[in-house]
Amino acid sequence: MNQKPLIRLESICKRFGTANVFDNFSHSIYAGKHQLITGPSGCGKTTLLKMMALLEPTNKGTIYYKGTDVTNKHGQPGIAQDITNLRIGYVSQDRDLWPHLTVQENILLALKVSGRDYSYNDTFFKIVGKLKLTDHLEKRPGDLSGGQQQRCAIARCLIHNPDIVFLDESFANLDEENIASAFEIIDAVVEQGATIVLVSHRTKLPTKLFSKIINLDTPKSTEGFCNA
Amino acid sequence: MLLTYLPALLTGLGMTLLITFLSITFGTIGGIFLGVLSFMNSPLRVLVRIYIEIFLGIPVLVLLIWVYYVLPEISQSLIISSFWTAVLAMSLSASAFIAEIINGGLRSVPKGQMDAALILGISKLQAVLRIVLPQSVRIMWPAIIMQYITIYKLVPLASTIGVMEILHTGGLIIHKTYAPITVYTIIAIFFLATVYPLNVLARSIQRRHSRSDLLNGV
Repeated sequence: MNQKPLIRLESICKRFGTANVFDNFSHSIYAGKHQLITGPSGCGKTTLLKMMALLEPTNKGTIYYKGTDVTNKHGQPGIAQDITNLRIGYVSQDRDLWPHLTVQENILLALKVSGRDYSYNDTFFKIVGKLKLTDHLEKRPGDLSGGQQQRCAIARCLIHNPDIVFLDESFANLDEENIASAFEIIDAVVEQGATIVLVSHRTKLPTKLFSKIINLDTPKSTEGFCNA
Repeated sequence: MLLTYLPALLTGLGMTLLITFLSITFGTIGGIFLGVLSFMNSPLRVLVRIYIEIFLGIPVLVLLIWVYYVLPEISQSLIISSFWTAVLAMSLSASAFIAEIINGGLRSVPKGQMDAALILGISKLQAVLRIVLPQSVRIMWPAIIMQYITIYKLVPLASTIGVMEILHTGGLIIHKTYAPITVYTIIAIFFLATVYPLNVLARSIQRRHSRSDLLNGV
């Protein structure tokens, strides 16, 4: 593949105590090539996403965003994204909504504090409409169901028009009908050029969406393992 | 006859409240600054930690005496009035305790919420101010109010360096009236009357906080 990867992990090592979760592990994400990461609990799926998002430090190795070394920007993903002009969206397993803010404030806060346009633009209405949040904008996350919270977290991630969207078990709390609606909006974002990296236990996912399916149940010291 | 000395006692109480107010103000400003620095893992974190450990460890009485008697021995330019010595010692001690409360409160907010902000391009400081602090303030308030009460109750220690706060004033009145039981009882009642409402306030905030958490399901 001649295309330059959006994100490249090179010879990454990650240990938790004495457990080697990743040992000399390399991995790349290319624009438009969506990936599904599966594997049993504790195999390092979330750790991998967090390392790629610069939320989790590595013990060894290098992380590149669009060819720029951003390893030393661990803990400052926003700065790394500004330098490399690579926007990342991340929806965690726990959703991590801000409970003191309304749904609308949750979705728009990042745009507001960074001085970007946070008015009710078409993108906002399109996203909240497709994720069925229009009637819940004034509610706080504590007043929403688990599925609604998940959709709110996805909307918050999509509003800043990311190049890559990391979804960590993001559909775990959505029923089949809402999964379809989430995929609708994800498809819409994909059409705009965003790439999805999804971590999931679910088996009933539309795997045809993904160019690559990675099973972390296998030894994690090789490059490009478990290509589907 | 004691009524004659009531204005003096009230002046002493006023001095006690003034030292408390200034110490709380400076201690809170310093405590927020140090607590946020400590939480944000800034490069100054080690220095902040050393500061906190020092002033958590030294009793306020020792600090008062050290600042008032030892500092001038080091340099004549470090002579501070007894009033400002009391404010300084109380503020230094309060800032360390408040920094610990702030740091603990900030850390009580799930780390994922901070991560969610950082990944969206919100700066660390903005994330602390907009996301972490507003949530943790409710958790911190009762502990901070209790700390304020502690500062207030420690101010009589300033009598050891001659500050004319309520206890020192009371001592002078006793010299003239030979009525220690009455004077010290009046002082105790003054403290009780001023501390009790604050205790009630702290408890009510705590109760409201627990209830709203239950209602919000967070």
